[in-house]
Amino acid sequence: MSEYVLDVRNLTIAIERRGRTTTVVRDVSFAVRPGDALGIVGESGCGKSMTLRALLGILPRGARLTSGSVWFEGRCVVRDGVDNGLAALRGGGIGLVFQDATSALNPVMRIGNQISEGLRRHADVGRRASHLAAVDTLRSLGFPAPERQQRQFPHELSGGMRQRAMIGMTTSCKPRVLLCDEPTTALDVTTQLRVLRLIDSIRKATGTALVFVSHDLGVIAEICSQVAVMYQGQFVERGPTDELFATPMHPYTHGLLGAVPDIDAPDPRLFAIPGDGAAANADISGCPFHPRCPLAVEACRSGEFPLVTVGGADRESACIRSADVTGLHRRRDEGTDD
Amino acid sequence: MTSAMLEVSSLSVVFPDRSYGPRPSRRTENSVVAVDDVSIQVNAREIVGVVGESGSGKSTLCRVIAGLQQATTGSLRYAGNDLAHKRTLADRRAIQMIFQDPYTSLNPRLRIGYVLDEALKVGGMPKADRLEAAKELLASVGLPESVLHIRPSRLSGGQRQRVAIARALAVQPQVILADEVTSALDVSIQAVIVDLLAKATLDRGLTLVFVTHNLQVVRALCQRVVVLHAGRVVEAGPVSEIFASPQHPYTRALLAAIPRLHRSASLLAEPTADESTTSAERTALPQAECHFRQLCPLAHERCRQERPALQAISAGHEVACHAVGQPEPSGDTAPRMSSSTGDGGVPGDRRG
Repeated sequence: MSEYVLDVRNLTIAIERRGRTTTVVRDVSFAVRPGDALGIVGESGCGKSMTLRALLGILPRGARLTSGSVWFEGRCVVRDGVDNGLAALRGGGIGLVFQDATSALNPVMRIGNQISEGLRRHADVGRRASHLAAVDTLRSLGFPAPERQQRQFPHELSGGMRQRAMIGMTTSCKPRVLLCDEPTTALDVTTQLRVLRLIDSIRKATGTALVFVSHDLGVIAEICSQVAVMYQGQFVERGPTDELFATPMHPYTHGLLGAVPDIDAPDPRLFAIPGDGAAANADISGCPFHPRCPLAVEACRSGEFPLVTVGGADRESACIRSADVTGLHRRRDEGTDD
Repeated sequence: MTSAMLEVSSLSVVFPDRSYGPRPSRRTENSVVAVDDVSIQVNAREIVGVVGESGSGKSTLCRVIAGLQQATTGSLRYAGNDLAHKRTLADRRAIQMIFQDPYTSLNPRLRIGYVLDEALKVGGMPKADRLEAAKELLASVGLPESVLHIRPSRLSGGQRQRVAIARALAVQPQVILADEVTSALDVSIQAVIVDLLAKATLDRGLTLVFVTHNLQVVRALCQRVVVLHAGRVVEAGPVSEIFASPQHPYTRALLAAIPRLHRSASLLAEPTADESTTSAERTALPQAECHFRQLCPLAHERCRQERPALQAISAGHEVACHAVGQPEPSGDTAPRMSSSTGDGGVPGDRRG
């Protein structure tokens, strides 16, 4: 559909290493309209960063798209796993904010130059104009002395400022889709809040579509209206953020919520998800979560588990026992689920 | 008090200005006061959280207690022994530190069995018993025996942190200093490690100082919490009390900045506060003022002239703020808080 600025369908990514092929992202589909904010949550290694990188055509060596297609503003840029022009969109059409600004910024280049370089490349702006625009960008990002600070190197800035400078680098080109890969994970809560407000205000002001990847459920709850939960390369649940966090319909989502209770929750305890997500691998047949799942039954051990509509019209879950997930809440409240 | 396991009194750490060369300069305007006159008592078998932003001095404090960093002034006592100048072998064994980054705190070339064996050897265990003890340590942190034979590169972050905990426990310490041990880990693994630390501490009757910027974890694990800002203790007290009714404006701002899963109004809708002062910008701050002054909604004239002292407002709950304990104002000067954090008697008076 052309109303979507970015439409990703059945994206599958595999990594080949020493002759072995591992599927790290399996059949992932999502679409965003201008101004949308979609969150993707999951643990490290679940494939969320891989998904973002695939959309920019910057997958690491050994990883490749095996199938799936991507439409950007109605134009097919990836068809059946074949890159058909992603490189042209990078920066101008789709921008990415990386997790670690310290390594994503060039340490020997002044931050003003790093911002204006993108403008010259993507927005066809002259040298002088791009420098002025870089200063304006820094000012809008809350830098107190942009004229002086645009001449500084990344190491001269604090972590929060570096992250903001990188957001400026990405957003100054006015991408229609802004991808954020854990942009606040390395920051303090107060700095994190500032960066989140900045991203949110940019989305509102420019109508860019936001795809925000994080393992922090609270951050997603603040900034995204829709959320998809990813486990072992697959979406296991998707829906409006408020509803999904209030009544999870996949046992993995339920487990994640127990591991990071709200700071206001009456019960401060953290509940670990039994088993080890990192030790499990993609070779498991059936539902990827079944070895750790408190609700697992025989039927979970084989077959495919795609997202299906459950409950409300906007809710999707990959769990065949999604109706029983609410029962897990009760068990935890009674203290039997430990 | 003699019952305190760890007693930090008026401890300061000053990093001298080295911008003119390797030797510390006599100029003091560029030196950084990382820990500024901090006094903390930790009782035996207590779990104390130390929270604050990066640059608040929490890691430096931890390193001083562990003996990795010299204090500039002040004293440090462990079980009554003065540690500031001389530490016996027994003192050093009794205080063990677990580091933030499990990827750099384990030697990549040493097998886990060797790492644990070395720690046990330092702990004075005869060679014949060490293999058995290493297996027991691994079991106590939930790792299989097979881990003995592999190198850290084959372990995940959570598994490495378990090894780091096992290594710290190997010398049978009395005090464990955990410096941001969960911040490099995923949320689900974080819960596991917090559980493990709590269990290890309780089972062995240890004292735990848990340094973190994650307030959710403090709430789940600790009994008492110390809030640091710009190298100073701004608030200290029982976890239940501080989370229910934070008194210092900084503690409130910290609690209010936590993203919430369920809230009526978005945190993002509110105006952006200025970025907090961190060590990078802290060089020129005058000593005789409140360092939170510029960001503080309750700041008044006195905050610029006088450093607020820690004063007890109830049993065990101390706050360093001129505005706390003053007559109750109309209420519109209170800093913004989340609706559900609860505001047990909002203090604050612009004139003091």
